[in-house]
Amino acid sequence: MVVFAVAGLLLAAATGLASAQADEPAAVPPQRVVSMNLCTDQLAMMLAARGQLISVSDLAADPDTSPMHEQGRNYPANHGGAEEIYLLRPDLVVAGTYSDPTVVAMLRRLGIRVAQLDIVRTLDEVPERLATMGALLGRQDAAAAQIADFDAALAALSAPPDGPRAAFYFPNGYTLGTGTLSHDILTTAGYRHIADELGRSASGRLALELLIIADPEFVITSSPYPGASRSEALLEHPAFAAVVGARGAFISSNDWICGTPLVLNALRDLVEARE
Amino acid sequence: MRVFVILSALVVILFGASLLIGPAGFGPAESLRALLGEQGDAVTLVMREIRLPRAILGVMVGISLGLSGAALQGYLRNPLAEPGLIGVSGSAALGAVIALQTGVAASFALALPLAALTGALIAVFLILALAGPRGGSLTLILAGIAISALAGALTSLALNLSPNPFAVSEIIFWMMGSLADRSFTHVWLALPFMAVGWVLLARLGRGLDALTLGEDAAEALGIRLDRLRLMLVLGVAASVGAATAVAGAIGFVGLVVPHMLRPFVGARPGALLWASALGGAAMVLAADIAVRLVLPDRDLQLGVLMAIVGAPLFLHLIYKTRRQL
Amino acid sequence: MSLLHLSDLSVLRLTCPVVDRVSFDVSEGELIGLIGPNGAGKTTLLRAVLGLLPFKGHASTAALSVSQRARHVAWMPQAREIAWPVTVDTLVMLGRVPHLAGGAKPSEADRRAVADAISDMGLAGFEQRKATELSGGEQARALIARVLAQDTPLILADEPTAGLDPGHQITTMEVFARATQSGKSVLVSMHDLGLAARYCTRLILLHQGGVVADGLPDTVLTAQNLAKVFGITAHVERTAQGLIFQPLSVLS
Repeated sequence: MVVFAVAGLLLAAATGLASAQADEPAAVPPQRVVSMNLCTDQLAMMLAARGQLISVSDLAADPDTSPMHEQGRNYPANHGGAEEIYLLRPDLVVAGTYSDPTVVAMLRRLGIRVAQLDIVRTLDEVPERLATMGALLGRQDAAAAQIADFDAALAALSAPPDGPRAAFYFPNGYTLGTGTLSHDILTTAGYRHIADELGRSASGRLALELLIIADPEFVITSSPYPGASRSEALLEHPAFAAVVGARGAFISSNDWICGTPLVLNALRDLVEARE
Repeated sequence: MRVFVILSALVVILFGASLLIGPAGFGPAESLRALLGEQGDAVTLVMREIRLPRAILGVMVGISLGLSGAALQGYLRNPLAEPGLIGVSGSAALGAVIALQTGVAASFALALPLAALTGALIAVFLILALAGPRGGSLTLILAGIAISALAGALTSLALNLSPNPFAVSEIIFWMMGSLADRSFTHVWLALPFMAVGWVLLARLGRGLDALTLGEDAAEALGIRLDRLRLMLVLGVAASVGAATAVAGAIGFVGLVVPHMLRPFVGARPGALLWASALGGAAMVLAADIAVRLVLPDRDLQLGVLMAIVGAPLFLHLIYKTRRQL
Repeated sequence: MSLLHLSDLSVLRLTCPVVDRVSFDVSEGELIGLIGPNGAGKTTLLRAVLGLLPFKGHASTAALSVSQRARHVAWMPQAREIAWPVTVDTLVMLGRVPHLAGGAKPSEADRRAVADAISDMGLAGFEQRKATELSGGEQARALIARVLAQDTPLILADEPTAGLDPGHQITTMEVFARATQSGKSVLVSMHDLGLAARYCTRLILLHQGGVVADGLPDTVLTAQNLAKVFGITAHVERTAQGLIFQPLSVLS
């Protein structure tokens, strides 16, 4: 159950092509932009003009979740509540497609423009989000530059799929399917994902037995939270330690979470790990 | 004795079945070869590090719960007594959760079962003080409700206060119990305490038999009731505490097993002790097999099945003994 | 040989003496009736002798260890508890607990003691019946059989004949009398003065915790004692069948 909360966090945090509500770019760029989603926070921070972005979500400054937590501290934080966002008098709110629908509906009823960006499922969609955010903020040129840099770096880091067989294994045995951004990052870096062998397109719980039988050479996990939990205790199981081997598991950083150019860091880390 | 042979055979068969059932679908021959052989491959790892400790733990937990239930019922002379219902398991879970969330459990290895044992000890003391030998069923059930409710609420609070985001939803593990994803670490952690508990409880047979005639007659037959009570308290706390520390609070085993086996041992409390130990092992193994067959992909808690079987029986027992309530 | 020696035995509840400096001896082969009105302290006295209560003064049983005491004196309490539906056989076998270590199997001697006790109480054929399914009288007899099976030199019983029909009351007293012939002694607390008068070789009359009279039934059941202790008049007559006792009226 908690896995879903964390997964929900991941889903809500990633951005994508707006499935609804993304209108044509306004004639005058918005001057007071509020972001209420971890991934739109980062895209907005990367592309906004000085003074254009007036608030980001509280996750943006959290070092455990946000790769841009230092920049995130420079902006006032909001907690995703309709009342507090309304009182900031924004002319544009950017959110994710899985942001609280009650809040989004309320803001729209109050006459505020809310643009929702979908989660990113493949690396191709990263330039698309950059373009969308650029259009929303009236910063198309900045977006185009970032897209060009991203495409160049991506080409350099892509590798043929002859690398080690890898698996994701998070607390509670949660693993990722082939339809996820993390899968795309992994395979672009040249690794082979066991989710392809097991035919798992959706993310979900994988029994430890099945992980052991799949026998991956490379295991990706998350860094543990403070305190104790049974979900994380699973990753201390002797059988898991045997699979992971002497080298230990690869700890995925928070660059993996959102579909921003920061995924290049994740790719770089993976490519280095191959050597 | 026929009952002993049948129960032992049942435990052996269920133990074997537990070894052969799991999400990784390899056949019995391959499983046994991997278990006994020397290869270090994946199948051996699964058999030796996942399935074997799980089956062993099922037996250990079942013995602890069955034995404790039979001992409590024999002492209180009440068929409604069992460690889950009277709040002993819940209090043990509270002790374990506090040890884990305060980090004490990480400081030295045996801290976790000791903390659970302490929680169980407090509950047993309270129950005996409130509903002691002369207390009736009503007092017993009410005291059990109060202790269970308090322990459950405090456990939930402790988990909510945890800095770990996963801990909050793990109340369900602690309240319902599960043997999934346990390892030999948990076996070695629980075994010393359980062994002590089993030894203490196994020696109560003579005294519990004599208690059939009431405390006065039992004392006059040469039974030291104060010593018996102490051994009961320590034995139940140690075995149930250790079981709860590694598998969460599993209820109803100590209620169902003695009840079902009582007619087969001539209602003698002493004989019921070892019969319930074996019967408890069989019941926990059977339930653990069932959770893997019924909903293999989900983490179905053991306590769910126990409650489905045990709660109706509990209601039936209340109905049958309602005139004494 | 003295089976029981009591000297100035007192049991105090706070400061009030429930048993007040009781002294007497029990030798072999006696069937003693402990009589007195409700609240006289009969049960308390017996429980103190058994070591179930703290007391002041001296009792020879106190010098014995718990297990020695269980082989020396058997106790049948007034509350006739049978907690579980065990067979009569099992119930009576509980009397052998002091002779059996934990987990030991009953020997031939144990089984014989149980069989004798069962037949003495007229329960032959009842061995496999569930004790909780018997009638009140049958249960009482089964519990007495347990005491007999314990095979102790001294037997203490609290109202063993209460609730039994006249035939079985007589049988029970006759069984106790027969036991005394082999050297055992039985100390029975009872309200039925008629039975006590006929079968007991000696009566001890307790009143407000103290011994008022101790001796042959004739010498204890005087009109004066009956008036003072029980507040009744009674017809006492020695016949060819023994002493007859019948309470008649209450004194105002």
